[in-house]
Amino acid sequence: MDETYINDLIYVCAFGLGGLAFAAGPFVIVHLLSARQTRQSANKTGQFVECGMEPIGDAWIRYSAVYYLYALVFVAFAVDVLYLIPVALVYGREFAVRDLFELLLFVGILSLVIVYAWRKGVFAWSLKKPTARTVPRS
Amino acid sequence: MTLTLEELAAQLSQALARDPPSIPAPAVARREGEGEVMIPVGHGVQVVDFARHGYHLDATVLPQDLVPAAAWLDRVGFALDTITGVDWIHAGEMELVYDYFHPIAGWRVVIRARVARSEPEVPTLSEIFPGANWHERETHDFFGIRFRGHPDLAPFLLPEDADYHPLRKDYAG
Amino acid sequence: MELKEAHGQDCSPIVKFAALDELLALGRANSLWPLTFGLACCAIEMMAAGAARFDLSRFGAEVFRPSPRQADVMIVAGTVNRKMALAVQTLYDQMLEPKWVIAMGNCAISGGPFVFPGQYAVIEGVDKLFPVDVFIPGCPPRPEALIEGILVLEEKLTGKRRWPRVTPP
Repeated sequence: MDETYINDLIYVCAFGLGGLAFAAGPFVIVHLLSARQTRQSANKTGQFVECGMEPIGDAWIRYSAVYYLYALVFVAFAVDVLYLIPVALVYGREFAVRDLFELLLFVGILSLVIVYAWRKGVFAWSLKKPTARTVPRS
Repeated sequence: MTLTLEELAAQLSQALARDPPSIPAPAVARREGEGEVMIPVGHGVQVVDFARHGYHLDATVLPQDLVPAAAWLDRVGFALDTITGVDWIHAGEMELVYDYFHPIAGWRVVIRARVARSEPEVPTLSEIFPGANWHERETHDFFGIRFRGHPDLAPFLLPEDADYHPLRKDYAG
Repeated sequence: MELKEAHGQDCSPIVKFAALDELLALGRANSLWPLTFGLACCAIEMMAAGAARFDLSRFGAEVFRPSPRQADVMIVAGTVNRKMALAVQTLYDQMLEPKWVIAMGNCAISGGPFVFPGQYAVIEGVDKLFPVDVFIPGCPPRPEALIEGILVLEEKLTGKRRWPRVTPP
């Protein structure tokens, strides 16, 4: 194990620990600095909806499956770019053509998602005329 | 609306007609006033002076005629405005007052019914006018009048565990 | 400013500050976020106090929070009926320490004009439900009176008054 390898390892560990501290730190700080309880008059602070009325039903609701499009477009744009960032460090070190081919393959597969979303009409913003179904029933 | 007020009154009277008549039309004005004339139409239906009372027709019915009267008014196009009660403690009766209005013609009709104070119970209007649901709950809250067939006569304005009826004349608090 | 014990509950934090407490109290006093809890006519005066002419924003108190978990002070503006009492108590419970209560108007102080022998509907004063820090009398109190109530609460927190007390000549 040579010097630079241990150096890099220490850097990565430091950043990892720093990230963990960043995530867990607020919990610790709040636990130490905030009031332990809040004064009660009817013991209702634990109600899962912050409202004066008794909640009816559960907080877990079913929502439409069409929101998968948001997840797909997020993966195609944001996660794609996230994985491309470390590529900049190692690109072209040995075989530039192989690296280019791998890059094009990666981006090409993820761009299929964009083509799918495009065909679904996600990127076109048009005013929907109110149809009979969109008028709420009284 | 092609009917006139007099025709409406006549038709309402016809709709409430029973043989023999259930409520005789009062011959004189129920509320005294100078120069006031109430025009009896029949079967408890009267045309009254709108400027004085704020409504056009006043009909007194038997409790069992409340639902048919409401159904007839609904067919003609009336909407229910409010339901309230009056505690006639010295007569030993409770009176129910139903206010209806016609949104297009602008007519206001009042239907009244009297029940015994010891057993105040009338049928519910909530099948015909869903808005009557809350008005009947309020009337039950404050007068203790029970509405047969009402889905849920829980306290409306009073706390959930209230067992008193504050607008009764013998409520002392 | 100390967090009171109520019903034997100790609400103070684990780490307590000493000199920094003054700074924290100054910060809290200048950013009291009220819970929108207008129940009746006093709510109109509360809204007027939050609007442009009387301007609660210069005291940091313009940001009325709809959620009790984000609010510091509950301004009970209006009559509390027996039916509404549980809702008010629930909202008070859901506020987080440090929290304060301002009882605005005669109804919140003692039931107001609705108290008579044999009344069945009104809770005679919100301090029957939970502890109150500032009482603002009036029916309804003017927006200036609500502002004075906020200043009194600030004085309660920091020990110093922002503006000198004005006495009539």
